[in-house]
Amino acid sequence: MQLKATEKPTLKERVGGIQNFGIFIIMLVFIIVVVALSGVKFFTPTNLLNLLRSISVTGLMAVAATLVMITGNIDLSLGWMIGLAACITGVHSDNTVVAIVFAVLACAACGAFNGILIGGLKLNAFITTLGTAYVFKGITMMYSDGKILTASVQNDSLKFIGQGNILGVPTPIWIFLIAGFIFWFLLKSTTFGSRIYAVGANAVSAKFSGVSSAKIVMATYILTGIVTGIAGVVFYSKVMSVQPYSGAGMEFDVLTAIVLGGTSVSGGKGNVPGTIIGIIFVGILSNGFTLIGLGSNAQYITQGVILILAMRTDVMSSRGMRG
Amino acid sequence: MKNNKALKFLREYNVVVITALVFLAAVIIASPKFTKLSNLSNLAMSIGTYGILAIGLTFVFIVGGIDLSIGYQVAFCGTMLVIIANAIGLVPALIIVLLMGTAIGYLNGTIVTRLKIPPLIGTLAVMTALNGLVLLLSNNSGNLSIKDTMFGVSLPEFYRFQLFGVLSPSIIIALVLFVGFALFLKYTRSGSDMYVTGGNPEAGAFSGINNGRLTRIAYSICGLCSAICSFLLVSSLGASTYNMGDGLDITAICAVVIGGVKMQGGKGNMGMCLMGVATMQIINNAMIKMGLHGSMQSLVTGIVVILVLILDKLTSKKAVNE
Amino acid sequence: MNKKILTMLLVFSMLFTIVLSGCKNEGAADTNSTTAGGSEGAATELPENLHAAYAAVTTSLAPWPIALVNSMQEVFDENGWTLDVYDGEGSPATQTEQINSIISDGEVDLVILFPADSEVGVTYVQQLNAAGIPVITLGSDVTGDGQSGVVCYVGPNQEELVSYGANYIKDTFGTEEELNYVILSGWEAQYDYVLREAAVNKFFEGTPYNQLAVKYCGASRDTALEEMNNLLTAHDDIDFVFALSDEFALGAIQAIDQAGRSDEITVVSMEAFSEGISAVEEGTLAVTVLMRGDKVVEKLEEVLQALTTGGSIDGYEQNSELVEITIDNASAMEAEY
Repeated sequence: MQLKATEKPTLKERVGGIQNFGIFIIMLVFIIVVVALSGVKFFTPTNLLNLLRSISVTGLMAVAATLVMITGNIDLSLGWMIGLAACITGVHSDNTVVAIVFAVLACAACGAFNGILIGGLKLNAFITTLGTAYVFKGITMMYSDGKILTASVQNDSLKFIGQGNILGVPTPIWIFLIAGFIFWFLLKSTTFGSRIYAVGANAVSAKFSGVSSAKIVMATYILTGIVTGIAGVVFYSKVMSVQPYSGAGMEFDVLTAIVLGGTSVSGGKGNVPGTIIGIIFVGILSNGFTLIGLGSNAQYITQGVILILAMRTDVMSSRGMRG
Repeated sequence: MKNNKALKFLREYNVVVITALVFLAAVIIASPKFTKLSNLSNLAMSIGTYGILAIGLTFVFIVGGIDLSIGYQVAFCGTMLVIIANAIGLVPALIIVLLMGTAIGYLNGTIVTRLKIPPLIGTLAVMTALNGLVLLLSNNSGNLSIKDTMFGVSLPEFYRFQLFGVLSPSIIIALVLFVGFALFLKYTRSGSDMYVTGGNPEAGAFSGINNGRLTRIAYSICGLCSAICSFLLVSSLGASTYNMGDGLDITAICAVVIGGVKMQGGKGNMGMCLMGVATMQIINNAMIKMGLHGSMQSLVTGIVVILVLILDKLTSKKAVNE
Repeated sequence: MNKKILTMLLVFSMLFTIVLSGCKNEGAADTNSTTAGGSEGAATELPENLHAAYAAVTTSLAPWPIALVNSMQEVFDENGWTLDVYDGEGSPATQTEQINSIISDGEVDLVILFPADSEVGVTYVQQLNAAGIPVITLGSDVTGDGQSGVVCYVGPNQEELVSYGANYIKDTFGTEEELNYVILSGWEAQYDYVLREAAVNKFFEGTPYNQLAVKYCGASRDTALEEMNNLLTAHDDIDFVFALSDEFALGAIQAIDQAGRSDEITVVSMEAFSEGISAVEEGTLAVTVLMRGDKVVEKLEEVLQALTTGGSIDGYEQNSELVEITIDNASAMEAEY
């Protein structure tokens, strides 16, 4: 988290760099309610690992997309990018290396496409990624012929990515955490990171200090593409099967996670630990409700209400900080 | 000199130009299936139904906001309409649902203005909550058919009733709303103030414009339009389904943007809205007629949206540099 | 002001030209003269050079619909018939547009409908009949009200599909013990899943079996995996899983296996595809039911051949053959996909 030279970190900022205090509290309350109602099932290692594994794929996308959002942009084409990556993996499920390389390259190209339009031509990110989402949808459906892609041969190395365990912890979780660490480091401690914040805070003044916002924005989208490609491989290998449609809608979970984590929609503010907390929380919601025995209806309704509450406390607390 | 004139024409009329071109292309490529009266009436029906949704969204865009929840607003209102209509009749159900839609819109507006939550997130939250409500209401099996009649005919027949061959209730209602709201935007104080709220809210606040109130009105209108659209959609389907709202928000956003309404706020009008919807529906219709596969349709839609954005950017940029 | 006038003029002149040209085309025959469908053995006549439209909820999102459409193309080619395929992409709104388009074009003699939503399907049947186009439902029927307008339903009998798994459970475990089970279903509102769920409830009526939960997994093995994981954590005492498709069964089996509870939990399902059959061979899946798309289309071919040669069909329900697959016959069975 970047601190300007003139500000001392407040207590809130000091809490592990997590900017959104309100969400932290709400999450705690929710966990307490869940534990109270379902017994200690929540804290069993199996459950916690399940939880983390279920959010690994969206989590991967979220940590990368945090960079995009800090620059003040957004990426709504994620759902179809990951669909494309998963389908590519499916088609090449016999050769792990080819699958990974191809999936990552394809999504990086998609990211570059977004980057050119939004970074280069300075189009509005929201609408543009809606448009590119359609384009990627068309490409994915054409590539996969709309069919479900199931692995026809045994491919243990690919299977390991989605279903294996390292030291008892599922591989997808490792991939997620490593990516999280890389991006946290990128944002916090590199020039690239500070430039991202600069572009997000004020593109004009960033330009004056020699930062090309076009290049930075482009880089964020390409990075997002690369990570989404990896996420697609993981997504496929979790069950060694995918239908092209599976990714649709993930961009909203990613958006929810990033926003809950404290990143501002207008840019300039946010960090990776916050996003990780955000995505974990989304996972807890889903997991918690099942443990309590309520269906997805209740989950969705609560998710909506909690999003508002969390945003409200964040707005209130940041107002307080300014005052 | 010539260059400037051409550019100016393009900038002001680009949507009209696009619609005309698209239309011509459609006619050439897909006729005679396209120009059949029955197809045109289908086209008019869909322009009417989806146009009403876009009208509501246009208001939200003008005040500088966004509403992601309209798809689920439609699903929710549609489901409620069927449930209530089967219980106490169509007319009271309609009244209740119209009020409900407006209330949901007002809720969105309040979240954005009083709770000061960014519209993107606020409406995303409402959308998620509505999703849950719709699932809950339809008992996890959204099969609800509406057995009521309107003016003596079943609802699907009512929806398809044609005056002069192309005018069906949905396009008539849409045109009425279109004219009414266009007049509102141009000739009333609140209407023209909405542009200031969207384009320059600080200046507006200084000159005594109540930005909050106008924004809430805009979102409420959007909610009302969603309710009306849900009635028409339920009529066309003869039932409500839990996924009837899927994709409607994105389609409406694309239509409105293609038409030339700006997302930043402060610019746009009913004419642009209608043009955008007409363009999108003509493209969709032509693609079905051409027998294009679904994936191709998506690709074409995406490319059209991007092209419009680029065209818009290029023409306005050049204008700035003149 | 000028711009507005120009716009209006442009719009009106476009409308004017179309209406003019539209009126001209209207003269040509826009619908066919065959009698609209009725029920049992109705004398619906279809021309020998049949031109049909297949409006399906999807032709790509699951293996079974894919098998259906592929077989249909083959059969139509063999018989010299023409088939227009409309992929509804899972959405009633899309399917509505397509039906409108089919009616407006007025080129087809018959519509084969695999409805996205069975209630909305009733509306389609009414509209198509009003336009003089007979309807045959395939794969999933429309709800009761609409069936009077349909010539016949060709497809698996949903209750029969469920009966095999249900009877297996009852035979294996007896009906005295209280057992806990969960249902893994597909799309919440898709009629065939609704019917299957209802059939499960019907078969287990009067038994002490306890239904813990019903989870909806779309068409995704991944979702089934996640849901099963959650269920396993939430309940220590699941005895069997009734999956309404092999797709979900496979996800569930993976979850059960990872949790190490394969010995405790029995899984039964339906819609056999090759992975499902392999699972039965391996013993991880107890029962599945072969529901072959090509068999359904074979039935359809029978029906169509009868109708295009002036014959009649016997009854509304034209059910295709189902084969129960258990560990005894799994190795001998060949899946379609």
